[in-house]
Amino acid sequence: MLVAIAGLVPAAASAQTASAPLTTFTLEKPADVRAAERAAAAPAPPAPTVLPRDRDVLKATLGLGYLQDADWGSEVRAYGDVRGHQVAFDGLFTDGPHSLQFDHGSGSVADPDRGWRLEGGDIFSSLRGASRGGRFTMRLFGLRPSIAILTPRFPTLIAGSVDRRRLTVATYRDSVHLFPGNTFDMEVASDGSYFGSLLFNLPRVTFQATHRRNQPPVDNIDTSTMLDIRIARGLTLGGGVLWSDEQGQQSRWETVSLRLPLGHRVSLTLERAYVRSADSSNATSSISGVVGSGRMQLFHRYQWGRTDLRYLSDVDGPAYLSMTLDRQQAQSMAHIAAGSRLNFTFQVASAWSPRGAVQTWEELQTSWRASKYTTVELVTSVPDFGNMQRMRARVVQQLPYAFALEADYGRLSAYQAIPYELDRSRAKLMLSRTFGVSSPARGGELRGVVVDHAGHSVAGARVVAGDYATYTDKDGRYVFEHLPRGQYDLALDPNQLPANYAWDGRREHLDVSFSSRINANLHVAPLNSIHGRVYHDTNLNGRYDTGEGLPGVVVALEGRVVATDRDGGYSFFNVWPGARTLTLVTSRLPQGYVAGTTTSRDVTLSDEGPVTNADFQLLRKERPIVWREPIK
Amino acid sequence: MLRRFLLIALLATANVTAADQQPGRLAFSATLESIKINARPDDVVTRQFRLTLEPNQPRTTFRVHVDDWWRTPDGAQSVYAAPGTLRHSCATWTSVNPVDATVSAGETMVVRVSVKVPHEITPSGFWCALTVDEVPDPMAQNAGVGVKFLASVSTGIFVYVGDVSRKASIVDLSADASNVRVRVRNDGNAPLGIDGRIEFYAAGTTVPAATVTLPRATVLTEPTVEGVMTAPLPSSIKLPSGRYRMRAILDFGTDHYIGAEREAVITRPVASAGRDR
Repeated sequence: MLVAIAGLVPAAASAQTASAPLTTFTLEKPADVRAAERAAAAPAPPAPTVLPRDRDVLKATLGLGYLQDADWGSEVRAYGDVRGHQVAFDGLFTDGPHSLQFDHGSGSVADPDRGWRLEGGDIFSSLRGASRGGRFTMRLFGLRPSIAILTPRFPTLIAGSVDRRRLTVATYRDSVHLFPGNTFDMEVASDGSYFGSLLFNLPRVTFQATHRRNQPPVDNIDTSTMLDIRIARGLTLGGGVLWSDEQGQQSRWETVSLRLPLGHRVSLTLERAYVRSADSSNATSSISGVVGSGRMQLFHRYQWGRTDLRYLSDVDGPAYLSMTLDRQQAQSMAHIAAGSRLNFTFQVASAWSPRGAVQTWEELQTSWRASKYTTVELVTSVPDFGNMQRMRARVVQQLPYAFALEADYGRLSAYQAIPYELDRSRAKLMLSRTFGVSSPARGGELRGVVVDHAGHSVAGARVVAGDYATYTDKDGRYVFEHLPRGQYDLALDPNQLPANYAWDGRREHLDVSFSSRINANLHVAPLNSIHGRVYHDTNLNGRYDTGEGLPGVVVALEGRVVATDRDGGYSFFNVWPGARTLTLVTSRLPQGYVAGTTTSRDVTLSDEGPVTNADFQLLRKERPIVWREPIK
Repeated sequence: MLRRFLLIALLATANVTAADQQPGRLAFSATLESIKINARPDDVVTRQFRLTLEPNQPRTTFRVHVDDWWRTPDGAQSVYAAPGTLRHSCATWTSVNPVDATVSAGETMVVRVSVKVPHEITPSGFWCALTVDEVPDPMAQNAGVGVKFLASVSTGIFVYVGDVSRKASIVDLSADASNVRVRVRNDGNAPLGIDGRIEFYAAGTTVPAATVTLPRATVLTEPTVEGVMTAPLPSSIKLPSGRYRMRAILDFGTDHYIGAEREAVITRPVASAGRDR
């Protein structure tokens, strides 16, 4: 029986081990442990190699959809690059009562290197507004001229049943910058229509004046001016006037507003507007405020005003009568971000007259990212959440193999016309797949060699061109292929330059286009060393011999100082090539010694190797013999 | 041959402060994570070593040099020698910049360490040590007689050229009254960083009565291929005297562990048991 009383039994007396044969084995590591170890055990990479991409990628999505009780539609989206050209397309094709049609969409191809752009489909014109047609823009002597063939996107809204061919025009558009902050845009059409806009965007003032004249059958003319003055710290005074004449119907709109920042996340806007036309005039005032706090943002707007109407009455014979309406409206909206995946927006709008409320409307919008692959959007009325007539829902589910399923419910726009029950809620399904189309990238080429002054190549140096970087190979060569068009500073990474070289920091500025083939060499200086000894020339033979070295003697080289070691040796490392002067610091000579032949030495450090034998000779200080007269 | 008894953090992964804040000692911090490089013949690879002088320290001059290095088999001492002493030295391929630098308080000295792998070389692991020494100011006027302690810090440089072979075997497993030891042999051609543990099973059980974690060790390929990993036994309450099956499991960074088992009678000192109670 062991009695455990400290100190009573000597420890060493009972410490022995008896051993049996040793058996060895191996154990497989779990796969996840192996993977984690591989990731952790990889040597820390040097500054990374970052090369331009060598392939252009166009991402295209093709979708096929069906609308309940209606028709079919196919959506095509494509964005990306093809051989250096920027390509974008977004369009909808439909099949239904009006057979196969191009419903809407636009596409463009642009060459940023040569500065041209071709676009077609639904495009916007400052002169004609939403249009359909084609436009070609190019870069020319600092200008951006473009020519287009345009027809109205919705011709019947403009001129009734006018023949579409009469509405089709050819236009010329250009944009001129006269000085910084100034832009003059103009567009003229083949039918004599024209548009001009002058914009001054100065640090505290923005002023824009436009004039547009469209010839019949479009037949409109409007002129507007707008001025914003940013007084200080977000305090902004704005105002504008618009004169308009739409096919003989003249109107004038004037507004003035003042934005008052009340705090970091609180602002108030006061606005007064007047609208006058042939048969009505309207004066309204409004006050609106925005309050943001954390995950919640509140917006509130209150508007009040009076409308005077003038209309023709046949009750007691034809006569013009007038009527005045007072009306007030309030609208509130709260946006709440419950988390990175869940957001709510609640809106309340009320309108009332002096006789009481005439309309109230509440809506809750919810967006929820349920998972990495599932997104849900829901719009419901409040508090009647179950009102299916006002409900809109949308679910997007990502599927394997780049497929996605989009399901919508609500009052949805048909692909083409729905012949009955236009306001009934319906379900819509769209199945899509995304493709990646790869093509060789287009770009400039920049190559060269990193060499020292003697022409020796330098391997392992990191060459940087803008955001790109690569390392020189064993022959000192580097190359950047497929460089995007732009301006680059070519440099060496001083932290990754091999230790025995130095770089003077001189960068080279380069303009690279897609067709550039640039050869640029970078030069570095090979660093070398100077070695020598400080010795006591005991045998006076003028050179160092074993045992003559003196420790602790200080030698200087252009501000750097070292002390000799126990053998009298000293070294200066990493010295730039060229002529250098070494100096013996005589104030730190050992007692009893004086400099021999010289206290400074000129050496020339070449690219080829170190300087050795930069030695300093010291001699014993002679003690003079002083003869004195004997003391008597 | 120069012997030094300095802490060499060859496989450490953290920044450490090299000296305590005691009068007369220099306080600085340095990146002691060893420099590991995978390379091919003719490659030139540059890495960085950083040393930051603490804010209240005097302006100090440092000298950087690269030497050959190895450890005694028990891992207790580091031995430094001139570059090229070992066949698997990378010191002769390695250059540093700056070699001498004067650092002010709060400043960081960044040393570029470049390794140029020779053209004709057999694929295997090579190593050396980067050492930063504090050097006295040559211009300082020393009054009287005194002793000045100079700081020095080292870290390892490991260069793996081509496809290296990582193999190891356990050649002995033993315990005495207070320590347990594993002797490991490096059968490959590259230095190995080895972690491990030893489990103690009482007769007829499958759950270990106690487990001892072994401190990380580095086993080189020359001048000796063996290393001993030693750890103290747990208290005699956890591991009382008796017959045990000792089971060592070592991990040296490959896709499998190596292990060894041995039956042993462990007799614990009674005084120790009393202390534990």
